Amino acid sequence: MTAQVWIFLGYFCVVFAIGWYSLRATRSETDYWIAGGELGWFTGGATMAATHTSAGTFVGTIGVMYTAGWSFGWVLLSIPLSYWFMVAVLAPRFTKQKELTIPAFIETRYYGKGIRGLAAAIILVATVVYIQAQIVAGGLIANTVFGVPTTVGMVGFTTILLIYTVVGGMVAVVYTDAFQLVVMGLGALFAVPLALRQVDGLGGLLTLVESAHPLVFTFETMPATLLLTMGLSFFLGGVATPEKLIRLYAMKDMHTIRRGVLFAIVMILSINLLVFILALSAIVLFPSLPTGDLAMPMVATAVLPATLGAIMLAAITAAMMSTVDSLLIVAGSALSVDIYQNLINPDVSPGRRLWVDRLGILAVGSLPVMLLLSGVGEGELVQFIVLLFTALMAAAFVLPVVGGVLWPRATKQGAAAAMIGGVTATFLWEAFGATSVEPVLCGFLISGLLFVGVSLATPRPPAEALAPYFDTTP
Amino acid sequence: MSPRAAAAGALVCGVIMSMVPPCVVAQDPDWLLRSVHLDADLSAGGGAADVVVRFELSALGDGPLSLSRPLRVEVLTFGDATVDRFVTSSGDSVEFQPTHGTHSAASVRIPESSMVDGVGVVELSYRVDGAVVDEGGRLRARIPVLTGPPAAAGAEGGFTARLRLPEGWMVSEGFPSGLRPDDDGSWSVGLQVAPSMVGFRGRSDGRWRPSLPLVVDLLTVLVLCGFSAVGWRHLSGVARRARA
Repeated sequence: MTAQVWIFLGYFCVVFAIGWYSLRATRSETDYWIAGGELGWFTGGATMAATHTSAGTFVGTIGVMYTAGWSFGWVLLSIPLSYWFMVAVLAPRFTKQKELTIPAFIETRYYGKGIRGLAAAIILVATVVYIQAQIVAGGLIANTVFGVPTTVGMVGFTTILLIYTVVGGMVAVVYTDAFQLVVMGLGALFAVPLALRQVDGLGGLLTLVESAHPLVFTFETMPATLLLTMGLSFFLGGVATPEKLIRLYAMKDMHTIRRGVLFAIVMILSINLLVFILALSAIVLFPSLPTGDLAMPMVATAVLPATLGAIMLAAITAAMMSTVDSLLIVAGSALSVDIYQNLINPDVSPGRRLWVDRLGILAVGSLPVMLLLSGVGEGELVQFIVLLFTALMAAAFVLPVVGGVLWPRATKQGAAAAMIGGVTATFLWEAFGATSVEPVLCGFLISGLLFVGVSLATPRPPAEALAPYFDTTP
Repeated sequence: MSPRAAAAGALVCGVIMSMVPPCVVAQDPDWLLRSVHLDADLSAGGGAADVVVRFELSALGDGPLSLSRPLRVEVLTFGDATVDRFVTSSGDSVEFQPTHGTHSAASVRIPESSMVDGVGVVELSYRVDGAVVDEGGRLRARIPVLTGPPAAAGAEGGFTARLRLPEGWMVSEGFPSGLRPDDDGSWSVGLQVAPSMVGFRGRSDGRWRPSLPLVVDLLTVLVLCGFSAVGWRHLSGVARRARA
């Protein structure tokens, strides 16, 4: 077997071991969905950073930097801004009353089971299809690394993800995320000096990169509107998407959240900085790539030695898995807690809840692979949904969540209109709008207009809905 | 990394890259590069390398390869390793013109006779002065690779290189990293896309020394084992506390 196969097998063994220990650490539904709400700053921050750092960072971000240069790097500065907003403005009120899921927060704040069901349905549909796209990638990875048929690879990839997520819940997810962050960080950290060694260090790199790509340090490579709306997309995607918000509930207290988010910011920025240096190295070492997205694969295969190269590939897989397992938690909880236990069968005994929770994750994890095996969801549709996912989540949830804890006048009707309108507008812009503007802008603006307009046009929310988040004493 | 592992790695990332927004790079309007083969001879010593690079070109799209436009050839020079000119298979000598910094470019017409089954085959020879620096037995070699139009996505041939070195030279680290010795004493490497240079570090006295990639590989394994051990202890403690 090649070093690559051994590295992948070793990586999966560690992930399974974490799942096994997490099973032993899970005693209640609170443990299962939010890791008991007792996470420390390191694990909390690491899981946030790992969830944020998807395969997009290691392939898409470096690809755009390879093509467009540093102008895209400035866009990434909206990420720490979004985390600062999350910890300074949102978290202190949002975590005053801990819930198990984001739709549960929506029910508490907007006083209705129906709006909770709506939030759960949006999460469920968008997430299941997103996971489907990742499973296709997982199947093809297994095909290329292990030589098994793609369908077998899809089933295998899903099985691995489901085993540790179903068994260990959020505890397993946060600890595998922490491990995956270490793998990603190591891969990028060790890759940089090896890449710089080929180009006579940082000084040599800067000289060579300006020779190979004279526009690399200018803003002439991308339209300003696209840069600004991309920045908005990163900002909103960082502020209030369900898979990130739920981690605020999982951390122990505000002090831990502050330290954890600071750690996440440092890790995300560090990884992106390393990725930027690797992108510059790729410009010099591989000036004729057919697409910038090949930059990291070329760095992994041509610059790095065997073991580290294999670890870099495992890191990209890890980045994908750490994002998908977080989405499995969010989608599984939407199905079993928000839809089944909240709307269909509220009388589930406490003893059976954990089993219902596990079945929920099993269902949302199995459904995508079953759809794929029956030929549903391949090709353009999958790609379309992947690109839209962040925009949809941001358009649906940023205003109901952020506005919900900052603006007492926000009503149930306003939040529902914002969710439906934001999702619809994002879809419509993606289908018919200008390509130089990200669809999140349209979705967010429509969502905002509906949130404010409908809230003002409907009766004020009852005091008991505001009590957990606002000081309502006269 | 073995060529199979390298190819698998590139494919793995290719799969993932299909899941993220594609980006567009400027492409020559007429041609795509199907494959590049580089043959470098350093066996004469003296720090220079005699290089022959062979491009296989195909048309962008379904039409036939257009020969009406000249082929733009570019080179980036690294350190002391410089390329001033190249010679075509018909014997014409073409001089590079500096563009930005250490980047130079030149254009060459592709003759009709170079067409084989609809594929343009262009062979260019050049000499790299200062390709090898030998400091007390420690070697550092860099051979700039002439680059042409962008590589065709999923091109089967990709890039291959073969280096002939003086007897007794030991290579400890190559770029691309898969540089391996062949049975005939030369060193070869394959890659999906042509790099801007091929290089290596080694020793001219034949003595083995641990290379930086080997040290980094070992360090990576050590750090991962260390993190796993610490994580194992921590998680065991979490599980123990939960059960208590």
